[in-house]
Amino acid sequence: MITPAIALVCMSRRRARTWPRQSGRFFPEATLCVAEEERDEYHGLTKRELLLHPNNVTGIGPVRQWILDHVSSPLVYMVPDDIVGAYGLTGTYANHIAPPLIWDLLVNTIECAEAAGAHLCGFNQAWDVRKFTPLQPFNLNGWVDGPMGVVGRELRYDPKLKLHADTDFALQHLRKFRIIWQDNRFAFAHDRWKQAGGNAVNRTKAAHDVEFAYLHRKWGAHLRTRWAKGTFISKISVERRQHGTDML
Amino acid sequence: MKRKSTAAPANGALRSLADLKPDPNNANKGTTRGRALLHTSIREYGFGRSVLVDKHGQLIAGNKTVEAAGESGAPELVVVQTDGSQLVVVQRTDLDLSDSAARELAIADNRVTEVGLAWEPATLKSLQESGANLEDFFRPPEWAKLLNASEDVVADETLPEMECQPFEHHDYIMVVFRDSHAWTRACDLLGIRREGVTLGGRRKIGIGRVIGADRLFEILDGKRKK
Repeated sequence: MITPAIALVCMSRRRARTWPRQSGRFFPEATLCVAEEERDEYHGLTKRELLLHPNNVTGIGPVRQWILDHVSSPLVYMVPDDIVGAYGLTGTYANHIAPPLIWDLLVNTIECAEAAGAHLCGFNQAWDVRKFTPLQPFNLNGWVDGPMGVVGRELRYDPKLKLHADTDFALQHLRKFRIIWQDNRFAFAHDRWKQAGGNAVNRTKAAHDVEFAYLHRKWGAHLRTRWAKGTFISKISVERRQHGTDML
Repeated sequence: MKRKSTAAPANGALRSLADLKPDPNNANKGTTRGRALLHTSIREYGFGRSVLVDKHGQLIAGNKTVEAAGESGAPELVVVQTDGSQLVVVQRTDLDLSDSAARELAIADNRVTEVGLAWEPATLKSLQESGANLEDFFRPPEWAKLLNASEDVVADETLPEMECQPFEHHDYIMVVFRDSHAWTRACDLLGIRREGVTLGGRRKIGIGRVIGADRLFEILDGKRKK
């Protein structure tokens, strides 16, 4: 068990070779969480002791829940292993962010989330500065992936979801706590869906379809998904503002 | 055949929810609203019924309940082994039927079952073709109607508890401080303090803080009274 005030855990699978130049550059102080069978490959990549999960725990939902069950810190950040950039989006150009500012950013964001009454926080999913909306620096009703912070342990990941567990988890938070905390001013770029390792072993078109069907049955009209440009787009539709009071 | 039943805490075979395997051929696909009501019922009144599994831990009844239980925290399991000759009674020691909570649970129990039922015609048909006798449960006209029913468009259903509630409104105001005196004064007035962070051994720097509306009103009201 690890018990700092805020735990920073990086989930990785079969990416020991790329980790040092990807997520390892941005989160050098993270605790690496890998399968027991990969202990030797990841040994020595960080100063911290490895967090080893059983080999049969695979997929987003099961691994994230395993981490929450085995890390005792009340505030936990879980970061993926394919981060290739960290940016501030509030300028004309995206500003590169590097450690130690990244850690300050993570700490500040999860504390803001906690103070706002949210139990889940994250960042902008688009790292293109042109997509940043200055009038909406924070989002309270979306979903987050990539580096994401969890406050407390009141909700659990759906173990059936190996691909889209984050969407489900955000919807659970919106149902129970009414908001999540997404800081749109910052974004982390991923080398997503191009590499071996990670969650590639679980990812097929059929598996996406099965999970989407399940999520649609579970969440109805509050989740919209579609395939576009060779990938999928998930959008959460949960109103959290009364109409007519946006601009008084 | 010798019949016996034992009430015991979860044994080696069934220790946690993960040991309960969902039925891949469950003919009730469930509904969005049913799932939402089930969540509400569990949250408000706790578990009212047991679920039923076979000798391998595969769910016979209660697939949705186990799903909902997993999402709202993993409850401790109490496993009662029986061969079906005895009625398993779940006694809620915290409830009294003269209280409204028990009455509400009684309604919730029936209503969740009613609202959460959506037969999967293809599964029913396949079960029948594989030899299951379903004739006692469906009259011929009901069976015909069921097999000809079109798929429900569940994706257009919304969940009442996910909807914006009366007067519910989440928003924020940003305040920009232009000098350190104004910032420290505001921190002092609003009771915002620096927090120590153990990872890395450093203290956090000021990028921004959040204060809830209740606390803000409390402070502002206090100032006005003075």
